[in-house]
Amino acid sequence: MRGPPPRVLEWILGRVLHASSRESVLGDLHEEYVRIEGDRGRSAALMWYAGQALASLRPSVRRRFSRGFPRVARTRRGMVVDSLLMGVMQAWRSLWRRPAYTVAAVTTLALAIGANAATFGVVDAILLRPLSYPDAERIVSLGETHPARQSDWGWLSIPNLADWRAEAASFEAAALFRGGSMAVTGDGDPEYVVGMRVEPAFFEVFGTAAHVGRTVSGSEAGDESYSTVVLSHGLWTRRHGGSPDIVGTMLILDGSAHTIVGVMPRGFNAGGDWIGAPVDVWVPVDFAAMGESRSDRSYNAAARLRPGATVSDARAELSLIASRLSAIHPDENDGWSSGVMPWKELIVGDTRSTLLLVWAAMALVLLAACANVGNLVLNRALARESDAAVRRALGARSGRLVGGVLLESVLLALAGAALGFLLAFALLSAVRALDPGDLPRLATAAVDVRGAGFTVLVAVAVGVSLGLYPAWRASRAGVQDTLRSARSGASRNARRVRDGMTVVQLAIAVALLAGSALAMHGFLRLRSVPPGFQSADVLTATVVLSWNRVPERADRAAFTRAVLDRLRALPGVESAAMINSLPFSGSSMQQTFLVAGRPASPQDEPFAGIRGISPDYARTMRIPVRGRELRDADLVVNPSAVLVNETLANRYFAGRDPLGERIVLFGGEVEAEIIGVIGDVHHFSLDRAAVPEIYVPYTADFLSSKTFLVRSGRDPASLGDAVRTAIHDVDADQPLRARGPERAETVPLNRIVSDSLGGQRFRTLVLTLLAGLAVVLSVVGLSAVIAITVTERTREIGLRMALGADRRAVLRWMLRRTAGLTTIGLIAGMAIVLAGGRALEAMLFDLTARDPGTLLLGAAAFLLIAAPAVLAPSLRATRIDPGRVLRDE
Amino acid sequence: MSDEPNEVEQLILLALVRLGGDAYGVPVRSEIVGRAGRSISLAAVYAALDRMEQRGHVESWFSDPLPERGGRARKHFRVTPSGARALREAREVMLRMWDGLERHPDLEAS
Repeated sequence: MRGPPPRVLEWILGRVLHASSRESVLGDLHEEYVRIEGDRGRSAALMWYAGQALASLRPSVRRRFSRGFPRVARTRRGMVVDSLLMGVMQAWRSLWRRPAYTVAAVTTLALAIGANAATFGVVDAILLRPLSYPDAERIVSLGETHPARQSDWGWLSIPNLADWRAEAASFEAAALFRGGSMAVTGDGDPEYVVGMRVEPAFFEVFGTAAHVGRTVSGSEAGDESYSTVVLSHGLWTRRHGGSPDIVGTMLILDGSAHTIVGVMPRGFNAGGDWIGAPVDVWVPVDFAAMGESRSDRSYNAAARLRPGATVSDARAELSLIASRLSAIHPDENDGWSSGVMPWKELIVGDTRSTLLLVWAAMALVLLAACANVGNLVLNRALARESDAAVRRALGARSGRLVGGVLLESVLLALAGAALGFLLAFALLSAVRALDPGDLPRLATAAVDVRGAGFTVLVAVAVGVSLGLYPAWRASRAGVQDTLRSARSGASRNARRVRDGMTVVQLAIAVALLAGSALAMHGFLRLRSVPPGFQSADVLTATVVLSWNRVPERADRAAFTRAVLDRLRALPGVESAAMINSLPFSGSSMQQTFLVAGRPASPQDEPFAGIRGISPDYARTMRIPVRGRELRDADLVVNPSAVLVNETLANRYFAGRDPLGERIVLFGGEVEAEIIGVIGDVHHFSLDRAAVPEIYVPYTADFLSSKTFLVRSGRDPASLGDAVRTAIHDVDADQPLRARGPERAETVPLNRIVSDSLGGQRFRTLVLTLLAGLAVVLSVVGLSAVIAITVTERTREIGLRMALGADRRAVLRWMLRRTAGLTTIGLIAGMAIVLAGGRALEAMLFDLTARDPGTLLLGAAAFLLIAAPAVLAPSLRATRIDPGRVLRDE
Repeated sequence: MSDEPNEVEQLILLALVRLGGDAYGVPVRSEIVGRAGRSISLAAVYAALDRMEQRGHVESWFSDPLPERGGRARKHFRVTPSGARALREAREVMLRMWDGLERHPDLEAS
């Protein structure tokens, strides 16, 4: 994708460049950026741009100041600016003279500030920035809820929404919608696109005008809008090359022609932002004609609140209407009530706590980095205290001395921020590339002007707090005291501050290490949860039969049977089967049912997920079955044989054997015998318990998606082409659903299981990286403090040794000091973990934040890493030559 | 400030002449980088062009706004007769000083 250069860099350059050539330079840079991006890719272009930006700073700054100076210097303000600039130059030169110190401090700060800026970018994109729709805070999602059934959020039935809409006054517009795959055929390759079937009022709810052409509206004469389609910017550029002439032409969707009336602007993804996929087409549909059942809650709805109406107004109003509807339609609505949720909350959902946790961890790392650099700055200031005292004695104003120390640390922090800012770019693109798939709006995360502002703010705060203590000392140090204490090392106070900052670093490192040990433990536990089937050696391929092309249920069944026959005949195939919604595919259909001979009131009517399967499904997936599997003879439209899972058997047949019992399904249409009890499968994700499920023959199934499964003795991927050919032999125009960025049409089942852990893996990885950073910082910090102590105490140690202390005693003395710091650090670190425990537990699977074994492991790991860093300088202390110390005296 | 073009300015003037009518920041810079092997930032190129324009050694005009530049105009430059004179003079000064020294032992490349 070609785009303009990053806005932040342009903005910064725009501030710095001289007005006379600003536009020309920016224009040239833009031009070259676009060219390089086309030739060598985005990262090369970014590097080039950043390099040019840096190179342009020097001449521009010099030019500005050399012209501005003589004029302002004549005023009082000018003199202040002048002296400030002199101070900056002095601080700059002083930093320049000690490159090791400067590089260490700047690198440490850059890492911490960069990580924070990147996190801010993500948090800002996901949590802070409002959605991109006009008046987005008025957009809500509607749904029916059934507390007893723990129903998923956001589903409702068509007639119920129609009644809500007719009676409620809180809404300006409300529209049903439902997402799904649609096949695009005709010109070009057939492909599946993500489609949103919507009521025309949908576009009023989201209030966004078309980029090209128009949208449709609720007031439009119905039938005309029902054969139109509105394209996404993405599909428009991908399939139609972004041509504006597209409006008025036809698009074949699921076999029927739709007139393209408009294209939405880039980034508009209404509906898709909820399901977490980019929508390609919005298709106006007459929902009223689609279903009249109040109990078929398989539709979603979005609404726009009237100006002035609040979410709680709407909730109160709808719940009155809903309870009235339950009274009128007890059979369908009893136990169901209404719900209203702000659209943004729907999208952000559970990620809030995770993000805040990561941000808190980042803030801790920044704190550790500050403590680390703070020690460096303090030592630097201590080393120069005698110098400062002399300057004071000679008449330097204390303001100047304080200012110097502060300026130096602010300069360090700003340099760290500048470097960190570049780092944040790299980090964010890495995060976007790693996209775990469950973070909404991640693609829009960027380091922009807000991020830059945040970074600079952090940097100045860091710089000031770093310099504050040394500056305070500089302001009050008496000449005599200082000169005297300069010989015996740091004063007691300074030592205490230094120890305090070391403890802070240790505590943070321990906390993050223990936290990431917890996260890793939770992840490993989750990964070891048996999914209920054996995923190795199974290849999957999914098709979605189009209603228009294969309208009859019998034809769909024939298609399935024909494909399965071919798959079973493939060489090397042990068994082949079909299921309509594969575990972890995110889809399911729930229905109520009755156990024959056991009437139930509508509130406690049993319910279960319905899956359509073929014979051999359990054998192919290696799911245990008690009783028997389906046979070919069971494949009839009104099935007389079904399987139920263990959870259903336990919940609804407690103490009885369900085998041979009969259940009534599909609103009484079907009565079938339970011929087998099949093992539980984690259908949604490994961390959600199995739900009651009924497996019916695929002939009774009316979902249009079909996933074929092939188990073979060899590498399943090698069967990919054969499986694709088998499906295309039956129907050459039937596209296979593509999965993931590589758009794979056949996917190993292993891959599907492991992808379902993407979010957890991502979080664990982030925490582990942060913990690693904190450990490095604290170990370096600790060993530096010991080393400084050794240097400062050389005289004392030498004297002790001269007076008879042996090397072992010296080592003991040094280690005692270290042990004290480390113990306090460990205790404080554990306290941090326990305090943040609740937030952490939200992302731990089946584990409390107080898990003692894991916490101890974290602490032990830290000690193991820290030991050599402590030992090395301590051993150096034992090698001090007492004779030499005495000679130096 | 003296009116004689310094070394960077001379390089830029020469690049302008070489490029003919097509001279603006990007090609001028790549001409200097490519031919003379000198690294120079765009901002420095423009700063020098700006100085020389004030001295009357170059003159400039703007193109229409171009989409590939984010809607910004391109600023084109051309050497004025006085710029050309200054460039010639600078060369002659150098040549006069070099005269007879091409084979001087102290200037032999080591």
